[in-house]
Amino acid sequence: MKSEHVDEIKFEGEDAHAGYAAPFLDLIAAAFLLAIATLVVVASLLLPVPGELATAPGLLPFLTAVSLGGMAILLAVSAIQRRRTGTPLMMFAPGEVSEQMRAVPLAAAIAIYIAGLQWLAFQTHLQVAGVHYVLSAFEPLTILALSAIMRVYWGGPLLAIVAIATGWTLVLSIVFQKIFQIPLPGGF
Amino acid sequence: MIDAFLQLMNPSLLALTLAGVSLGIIWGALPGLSTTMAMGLLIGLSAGLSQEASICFMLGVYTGSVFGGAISAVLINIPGTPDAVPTMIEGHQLAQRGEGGQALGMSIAASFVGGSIGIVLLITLIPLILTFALNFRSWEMFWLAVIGIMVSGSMAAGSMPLKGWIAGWIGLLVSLVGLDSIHAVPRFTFGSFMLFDGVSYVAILIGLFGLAEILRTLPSKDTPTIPSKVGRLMPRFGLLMRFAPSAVRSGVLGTFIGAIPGAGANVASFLAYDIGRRRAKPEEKAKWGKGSYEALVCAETSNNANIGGSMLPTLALGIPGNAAAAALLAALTLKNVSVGPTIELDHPGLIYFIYGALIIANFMMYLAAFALIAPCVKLFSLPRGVLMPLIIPVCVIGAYAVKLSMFDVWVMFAAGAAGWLLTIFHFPVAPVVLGVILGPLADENLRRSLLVFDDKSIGFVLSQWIGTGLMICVSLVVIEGLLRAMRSAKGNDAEYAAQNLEGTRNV
Repeated sequence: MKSEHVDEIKFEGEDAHAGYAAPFLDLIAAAFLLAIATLVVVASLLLPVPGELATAPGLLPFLTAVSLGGMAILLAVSAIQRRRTGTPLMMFAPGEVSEQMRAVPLAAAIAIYIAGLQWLAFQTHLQVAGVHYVLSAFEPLTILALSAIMRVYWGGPLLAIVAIATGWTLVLSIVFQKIFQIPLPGGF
Repeated sequence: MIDAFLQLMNPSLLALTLAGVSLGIIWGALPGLSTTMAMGLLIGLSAGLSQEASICFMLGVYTGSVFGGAISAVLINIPGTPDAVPTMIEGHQLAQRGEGGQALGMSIAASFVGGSIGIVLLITLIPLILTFALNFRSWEMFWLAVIGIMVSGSMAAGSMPLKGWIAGWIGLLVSLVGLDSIHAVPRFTFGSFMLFDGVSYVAILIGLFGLAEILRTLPSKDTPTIPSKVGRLMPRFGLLMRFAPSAVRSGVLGTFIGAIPGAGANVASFLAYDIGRRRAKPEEKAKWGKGSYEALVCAETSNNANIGGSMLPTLALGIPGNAAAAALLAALTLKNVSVGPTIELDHPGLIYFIYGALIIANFMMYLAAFALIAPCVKLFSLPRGVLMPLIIPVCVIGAYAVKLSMFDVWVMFAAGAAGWLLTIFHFPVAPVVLGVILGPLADENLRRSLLVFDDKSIGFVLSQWIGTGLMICVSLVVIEGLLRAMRSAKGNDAEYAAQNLEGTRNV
């Protein structure tokens, strides 16, 4: 991100990483895309055609999948060519793999949090200082999930973590319930 | 237009615009939280608002977040949004010389001027585009959708446009899930009624730009937080006048770049910055990269002018100018607003309301920016390990709020995981969103046009000159992309290897 020299500036953005990957990664991607494209081609051919062929529901999926398959082959060819010209098959920057691995438990924690909101849903109506407030699974589960994630990825004092998680959850709960009047997940 | 302004003077709409602008500035100022992420997440928040309120709020967020990136760029040398990188290069140098307040003042003034140029050009050009776009029928709309996806892919993937096109095509396939719009035949629903309505693009947007970013950045061990003093803020309109030609040039450039699908504020600010350097006077050119106010003006006017530019194809053609505009389009669609060539017929007066809301948001951005810089500096001290987890429940609520469906929350999660995987495999994510949004447009219009052309000759099809022109454009995009890929293949390989080889495990 940081650059002292104007000539070294590169385009940055959410997609700044996009472009060339190690040939091994491109080959995996190409194989996966080719498999998806084949499945979609077959599935689109199996779709019923109620009217003319021109209005067949499977027309665009078929065309898209065929062209996606073609692009996947081009990606594989490009990866093989790059490998042949001396690009290492796999290249990892220092810490890249361990960082990516740290995202897996994070994704699992988020999945458990969402599953909890779905399967442990409950709803209780409370009167707090004369104001009606709906307490649902969102509040306890969010406090729990945020505390756990912050504990692992920040590592600050537990009391501070719980205080931040509780404060933020209550802010969200009150803002969405009372200002935007949007029911929260984890209720009915 | 006057009616629209009178409507916008409603205190609740003004308050919502201010709330959107403030939220946008704070969001944009926080490193790692981009404009697109803000727009994507806040669609859910705007779901409970009225159509007018939702437009004011979302445009406020858009305007605020584009500027917000400059605050952290100048003060702590970390661009809050990707388009603030040139601002960071110049602004932080100035801050280190004790001119941080002046640099921020200049950035605010330049952003305001840029936003104004974008709005003026939007108001001037949109009637022309709308008049032209009324000639667009199914065939032309199909090709327009294809161009949108292709150009976005081409722009987002840099030296390897193939990956951008693949990403766009993935989005296109996802958009085809659900009942087809002509015969109501279920496609790829696996017998699930949940998928009959298709996959929620709001959930996908939140997943790709919110959750995927959390999965990508939270595990990172970088701790780049360096709080700094702001100093006295000074709006430098006097100095800005000295660089008026650069400001106007960058503003116009930013607007036109914004109108190209897939080319966002980051492309605009980098290009304006680069062109500014080439055209600067020798004494100013020498300051470039070491703290130049002119460079700051170029970057900031162009990225804010980009907002008006991105509204051009979004409103006139229904083709979003960038991912943030795609989020705005999604928010409008949620409110049953169908943008495109017939916007004036379908929603009379709405376009003036949007102009007005943009103008008010731009003024509020100018005022709110001064007030919010100090609180933003305080927020910079938040570690990433605290900040990013707090966004997780916002992602969940955002995805849930649209249809009150936990299924959409799972869609958001799947999109987030897919977005994270896409980044690992070096695919861009913005074209996926364009594909998802433009897919239904392409599908319906392709089949309608083929029905119209059923008994016609190829000569007749080619005589539809707008459609043929668009087809040629698609071919040119493909040819240009392939040539660019071939040209840069060798250089990029060497660069990639150089970047990764040191301390790298190779096989």
